[in-house]
Amino acid sequence: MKNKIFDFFPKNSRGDKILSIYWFAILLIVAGGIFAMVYVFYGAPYDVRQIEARELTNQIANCISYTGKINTNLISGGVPSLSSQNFLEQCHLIFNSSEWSDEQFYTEVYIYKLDNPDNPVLDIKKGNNNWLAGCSIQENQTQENLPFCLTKSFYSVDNTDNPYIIKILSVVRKSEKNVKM
Amino acid sequence: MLKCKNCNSSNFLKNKKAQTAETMTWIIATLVIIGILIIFVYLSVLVSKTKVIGVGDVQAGLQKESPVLLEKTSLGKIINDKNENIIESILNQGNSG
Amino acid sequence: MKRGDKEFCEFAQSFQPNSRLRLHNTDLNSAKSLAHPNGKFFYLRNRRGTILVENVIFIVLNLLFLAILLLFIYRQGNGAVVLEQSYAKNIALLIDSSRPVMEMKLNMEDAFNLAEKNGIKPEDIVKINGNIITVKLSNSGGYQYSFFTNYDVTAYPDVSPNKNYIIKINGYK
Repeated sequence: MKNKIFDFFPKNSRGDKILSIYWFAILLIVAGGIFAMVYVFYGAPYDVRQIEARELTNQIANCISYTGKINTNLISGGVPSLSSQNFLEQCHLIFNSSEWSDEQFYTEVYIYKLDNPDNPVLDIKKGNNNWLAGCSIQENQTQENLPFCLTKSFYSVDNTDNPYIIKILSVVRKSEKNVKM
Repeated sequence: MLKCKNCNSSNFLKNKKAQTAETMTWIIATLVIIGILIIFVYLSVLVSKTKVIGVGDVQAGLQKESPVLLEKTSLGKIINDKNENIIESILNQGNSG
Repeated sequence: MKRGDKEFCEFAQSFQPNSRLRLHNTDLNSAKSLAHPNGKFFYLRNRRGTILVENVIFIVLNLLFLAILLLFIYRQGNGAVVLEQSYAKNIALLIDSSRPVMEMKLNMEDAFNLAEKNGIKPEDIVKINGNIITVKLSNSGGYQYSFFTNYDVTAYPDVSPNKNYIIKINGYK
């Protein structure tokens, strides 16, 4: 043939250039989608309130009962002691912090005699009781943006071997640091 | 340039089926891609909700007792183990997470 | 015009204006030399060079794009923000579950490497002020988390080249 018929870079390729722009637009959409996925996943904090509530329960339990017997500062000879007023100081707990404007913890301790499990001999309530209302809402299903509530019970005896059931409620809020709000 | 006696410019405007087909393909492809991306972002949201560091005895459905509390209960029973059944029934009722 | 010529005209008309294949500076006889013996035109024969180079460039660009995205995802996973939060909560929970007097050694190799990269000294990685732990791995301020025990806690890096942090529960406040 006299002249080459097929061009290596064809002149009339306007349609291809339009398609290329569109392809870059698709790539941008996909990149945006991936950025969104990464932001959503890594932007969500770790929720450690379950462990924190368990540790709070354990620390309170260690304070109430030691080697199987209830702390005599709380109950002695079947009689509750008045020194339960400074319960947090006795148990070396501190609920307030400069990190938060409000206290983020709440705890209730009920001590029942075994023969009368409906009426507590001693009850202690410490912390911010505003968070208590969230516990009744979550009786059937936990909601992550509400404070985490944990109730545990154990058995112990006092210094005169009277049997007691001790029930501890631990409430941890700290929602902003554990849940994506 | 090749010349054709019966050719005229109006014939070029009629045969645009390939362009139409390709455009429709791109539109549907874009919609499918956006739909898939939305599904994946939603899945990321669901996966991010699993970033809960839990423990076996606190998770719903597993009412396993904390070792610390079990130890205290056991020590108490060593000292006074009367009414053990009552103790067990009260403790099982009272634990929730 | 002969029958073959009319067919060639119709075929030429069916070409889209933006087609890659364009016949120019040819005459009818030259065009007919492309024809299949039965009169149908088979014009796809000589497009090998154009298809291969374009597709190779296309695939290479797409792979480059995917590689950049994967690198971004990997860097986010090992980023300062995630590590700061992880270590701060880890240390707070360790202190919450401990008792005086206790000394804990926590391996923080990832934190040390990242802090070194960002120009943060090892002794500045973990700071304990009251009952608040601050973990700082970049120049952005760090992540804070509080603990609920009223202990006197100190934290300091282990002897080099160990990449551990010592957390010491000295006693009650």
